[in-house]
Amino acid sequence: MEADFPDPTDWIQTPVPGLQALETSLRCQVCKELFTAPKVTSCGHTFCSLCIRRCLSASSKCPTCMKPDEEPRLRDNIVVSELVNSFNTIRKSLLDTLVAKEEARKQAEEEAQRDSRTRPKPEKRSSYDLDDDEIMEDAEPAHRPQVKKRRRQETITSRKPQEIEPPRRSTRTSSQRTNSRAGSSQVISIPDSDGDDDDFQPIEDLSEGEFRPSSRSKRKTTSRAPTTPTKKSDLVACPVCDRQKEQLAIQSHVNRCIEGNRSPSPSPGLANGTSSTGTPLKRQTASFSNISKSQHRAPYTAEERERLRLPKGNASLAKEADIRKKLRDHGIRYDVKGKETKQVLWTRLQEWTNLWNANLDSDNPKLKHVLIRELEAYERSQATQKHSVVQDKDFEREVWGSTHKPGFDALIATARNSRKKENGAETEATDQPLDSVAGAQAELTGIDSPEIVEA
Amino acid sequence: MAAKAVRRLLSEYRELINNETEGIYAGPVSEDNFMLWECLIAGPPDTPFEGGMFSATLKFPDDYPLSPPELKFTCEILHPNVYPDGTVCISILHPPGDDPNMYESASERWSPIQSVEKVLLSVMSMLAEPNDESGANVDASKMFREDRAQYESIVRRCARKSVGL
Repeated sequence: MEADFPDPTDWIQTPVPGLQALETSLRCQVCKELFTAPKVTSCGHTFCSLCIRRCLSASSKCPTCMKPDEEPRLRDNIVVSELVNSFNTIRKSLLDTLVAKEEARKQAEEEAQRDSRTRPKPEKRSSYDLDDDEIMEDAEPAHRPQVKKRRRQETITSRKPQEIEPPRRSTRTSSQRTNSRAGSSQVISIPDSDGDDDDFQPIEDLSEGEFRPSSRSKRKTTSRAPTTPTKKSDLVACPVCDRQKEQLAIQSHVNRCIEGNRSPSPSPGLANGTSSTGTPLKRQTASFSNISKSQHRAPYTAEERERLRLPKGNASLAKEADIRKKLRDHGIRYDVKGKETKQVLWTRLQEWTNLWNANLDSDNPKLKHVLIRELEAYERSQATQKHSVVQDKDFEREVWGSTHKPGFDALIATARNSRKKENGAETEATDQPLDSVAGAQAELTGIDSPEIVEA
Repeated sequence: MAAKAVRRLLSEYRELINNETEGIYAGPVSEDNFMLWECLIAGPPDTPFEGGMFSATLKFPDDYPLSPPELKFTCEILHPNVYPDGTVCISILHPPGDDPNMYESASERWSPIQSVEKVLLSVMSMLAEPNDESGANVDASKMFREDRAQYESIVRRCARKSVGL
C-alpha cells in the first residue's frame, strides 16, 4: 500500500520537510491526488477537471470559496499541469535520494559517535561532516569514512576501480567543482561530470599507455572542451541531479544518482534552467505511457475538444425520451423497459457528461469503451447508498417473509387439508395466492400451474 | 465501496497519522471498511469538557467527499448541539443544499475540500462554544441558558465518565 500510495507526508522524514507543502499545493483538494487535467474556476481555485465537474453538478458552487460558478467558465490551468507533470517525474527519485541521504547522515552520526567514544579522532569526524555536506574536494583516502566506502562498494560495483585509486578521484571532483563554481554553461560541464564510469572504460582503451593520473587529467580537459555540439540533441536531464547526460548513459546515471551515494549537488545555474531541461523528460514519459497502455488515445486537440464537448443541459427542461436517446447515442446501457426513473437516467447522463468532458481535458485520454466501463463502475459504487433507501422495502420484505414463514406454512397446511376434505377443484383457486407467496408451488400438483398463469 | 472515496479517505488517514493534531484521533474501524471510522475527541481545555475523551463514529457516504460524513457520539454527552442519540448537529456537516435551521451561511457548511481533521476540529470548538440558538438537544440548551452550574456539573461528570472515572 505504501508503495503505490504516495502522499505529501512522505517528505516529513526527509531533510527537506518543506516539500510537503509544495506537494500539498500540487494536489487537488477534492480528491487529494495530484492534479489531473487541472482546471481553474472563475474565482481562481484549481481542481482536477473531473472533480470540479462533479462538484459543480452537485452544487453550482466553488468548493473552496462557495462562490457560484458554472462549468463553461472553467479554464485550463496550463502551468499547474506542467508543474504536476515535472514534479511527478522526479518525485520518486527525489524522495529516494533524500531518504537515502537522511539515512546516510544518521548512519554517519552513529558511526561518529561510536568512534568518538572508542578512540576520539576529531579530524576524521570533520571529514565526515564535510563529506555529508557534499564538499568532497579534500577527501583523502586515509580520512574517508569507512562506512561510506563500504556502502558504495556494495551498491555500485562499477565504481570499484575508482575507489581503489583515490587520488584520481580528488582531482576529478575538484575540477568539477571549479567548473560548476565558475558557472560555465551546462553543456560544457556535462559530458564528463562525475559518474561517467561507463564512458570511462572505452576512452581508457584509447589512451596511449600513459599512467593513469595524467591520462585521466588529459581526458578531462579534452572532453570538457566544447567539442560536443552534435551530442547536444542526445542530452537529457537527469531527474535526480538535473545534470545533462547522454541519453544512452542516462539509465545507469540515474540509477547511481538514486542510490544517493554520491549525492551530486546541482549547481544553482542548472536549477534555474529547468524549462529547457524539463521538456525532453516530459516528452519521454508521455511517449512511454502512450505505448504501454492501449486503453488510451492521443490527446485531443483544442479544436476536437471544442467540437466534442458535451453540453450540461437542464434537468427540468430535459424530456425523459431525450435523455434516453442521448444515452443510446453515446452507447450507454439503460433499462429499455423504462423501469428507471427520469432522475436515475439524468444522473447517469450527467455523470457521463462529466467523465467525457474531463477526459477531453486529459493529457492521456481514455478510449470510449474504457470510459463507459468507468461510468458503470462509478454507478455501482454509488449504488449501495442510493438504493439503500429504495431497497429498504425489498430488504424488509425478505426479512418479513422469513420471520413469518411458519405462518405461511400453517396457512398452506390448512389449505391443503381443506382441499383434501372437499376433494374438489373449486377451492384450489383460493389456495394459490398463499402457495405462491410462500414459494411452495413445486409441491402443488400439476393442475395448479396453468391456473397460476391464468391468475 | 466507492474507490474514489476510499482513496481519498486513505489519503486523509495517512495525513492524520503523520501530521498528528493534538486532541484528535481518528481511523477506520477495520481495514476492510474504510467508510466507517471511529474517533476520539479530547475535551477542549478551560471548558467543563476538559480532561474528557469523547468517542464517536464517522460514517462516510459513497459519494464522499461530495456529501459530508455523519458524526455520532458513542459516549454519554450533554451538549446543546448534540441530539440525545449522539448525532452531532453542526454546520460543517450539513451539505450546502439543505439548511434545516435557516441560519447558517453557505461558507460554514460542508464542501468537498473539508476533511475529517477539519470536521473534528470544528466539533472541538463546538464543545467549547455551544450554540444554544439552534438546539439539537432542547433540554441541554435550556439548561445551558438557565442553569449553567448544573449544566457544567453534568458535563464534568460526562467527561470523567468518558475516561472511565
